[in-house]
Amino acid sequence: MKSDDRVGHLVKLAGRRPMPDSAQMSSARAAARAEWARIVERRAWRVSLWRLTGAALAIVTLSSAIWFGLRPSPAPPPGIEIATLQTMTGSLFVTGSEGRRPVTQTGVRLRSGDRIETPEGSRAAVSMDRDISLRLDWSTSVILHGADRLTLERGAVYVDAGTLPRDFPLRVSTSFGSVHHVGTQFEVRLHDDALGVRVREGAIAIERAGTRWTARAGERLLLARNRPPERQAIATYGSDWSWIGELARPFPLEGAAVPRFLDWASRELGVRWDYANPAMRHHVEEIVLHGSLEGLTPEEALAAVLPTCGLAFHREGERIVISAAR
Amino acid sequence: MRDEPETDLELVRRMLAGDETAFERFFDAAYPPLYRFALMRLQSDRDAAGEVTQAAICKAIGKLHTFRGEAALLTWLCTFCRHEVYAWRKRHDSRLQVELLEDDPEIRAALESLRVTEDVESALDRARVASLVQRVLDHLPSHYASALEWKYIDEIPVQEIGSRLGLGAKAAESLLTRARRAFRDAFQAMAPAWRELHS
Repeated sequence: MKSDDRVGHLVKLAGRRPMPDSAQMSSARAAARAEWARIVERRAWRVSLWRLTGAALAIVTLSSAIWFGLRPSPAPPPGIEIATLQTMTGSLFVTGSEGRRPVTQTGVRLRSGDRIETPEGSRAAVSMDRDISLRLDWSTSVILHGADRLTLERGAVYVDAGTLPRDFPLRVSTSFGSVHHVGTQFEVRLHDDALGVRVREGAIAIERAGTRWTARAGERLLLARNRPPERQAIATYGSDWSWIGELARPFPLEGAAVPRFLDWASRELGVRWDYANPAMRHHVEEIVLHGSLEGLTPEEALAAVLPTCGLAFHREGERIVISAAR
Repeated sequence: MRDEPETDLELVRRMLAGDETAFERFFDAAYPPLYRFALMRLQSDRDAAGEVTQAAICKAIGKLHTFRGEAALLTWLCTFCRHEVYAWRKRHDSRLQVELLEDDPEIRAALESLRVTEDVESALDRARVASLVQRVLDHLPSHYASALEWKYIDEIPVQEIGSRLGLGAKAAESLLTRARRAFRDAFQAMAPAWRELHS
């Protein structure tokens, strides 16, 4: 038997190495990540402390009077407030430094390190402090690490990065790899054996073990372990995205102009809007809206608001066409 | 985790500095071999192996600052796993005592150096060979191990292996040659008796 054949014979004889199942690995990754985040924070705090001490000593050397006047504030403690629970259907659980607690009201402030879990049948929207909207589908668990990163442990999260610059380092980590925003709206969904990312606007990049793949609006990447990703074209609107609209932040209607309202609704629906007749523009831009959209989805809001302005709309594929009501 | 462009020590330093990509790389490379390490010592109890591996990897992360790069990172992690297996057995009052090749200090040293040439006196039976082969694969660079499994277990053509690794067919063939050589060296270091077994 040739030497190379012997290697093949041995590898074949041994068979495939046993692999941990994805749930076990995902749970271990989350635990390991939490421990890693803890030691990184602790080290950062120590470094800050050393720097502060050095600075303090220098100041003391220069002048004890100045030292008492200018003593710097201590480094910020872990668990700073970074987000607000904005909308929810049902209830959810938040696990933080005070343990796991049910949350039934919106407006709750969330801290770095908090884990948010939506049970089956519940969804939630979280507004991050950098104008990032996160929407959590049901049976989802995410950990907020900071204003620019979170971990998706299970379920799905939709990210609307709003007006953030393309180079803002927003990142969603999963057990299959990290998803990076490149100026966009996108959904990250964990399946049993793969990671699926749908891009609605802009672009994203997925990184795994030093390899990077990108996807643009209208594309979906499906990434399983030990396989190259599968890419497919998708619609950026329609029933597959309808859960996003249920959690949209209500548009502040009072005193707003119609085009701004249409911009909001079309962005939430993943479409664009046009006038049926460009000559309408001047008339429509003069209308001032009043009232509230509390509790309405973007689709329902269109149906409720436009008739009060003497307007109608209909869908043409990925376009909403605005016309005069008859 | 060895023979990669980035050393284990560099990877650990990046992790300690808070580099997310380094954490992902560390976890993806460390968890599966550690899990198999535990599985072999816990009578293939998958739940117990999962529990032990998670505990071991978390404790190791807590002590990452003590890693000096004197041993391979996987070898260092295995010491935590060995302790956790022992603790698990103690908690569960298990009488299980599995004698494994790599628990022998000499074999451990061979795994670590992959260059030791002392003879292992006893012949290896089929199951032990299989176990040993899997441990050797775990200690090779991960793309070497994957390429060998794809080639010999899945019987995937070289061109497809290249495509999975982002390489051309020639480069994939060359990588397979290096992988076979690394495997052969490691296996011979750990079980010189294989020459007799397979000649």
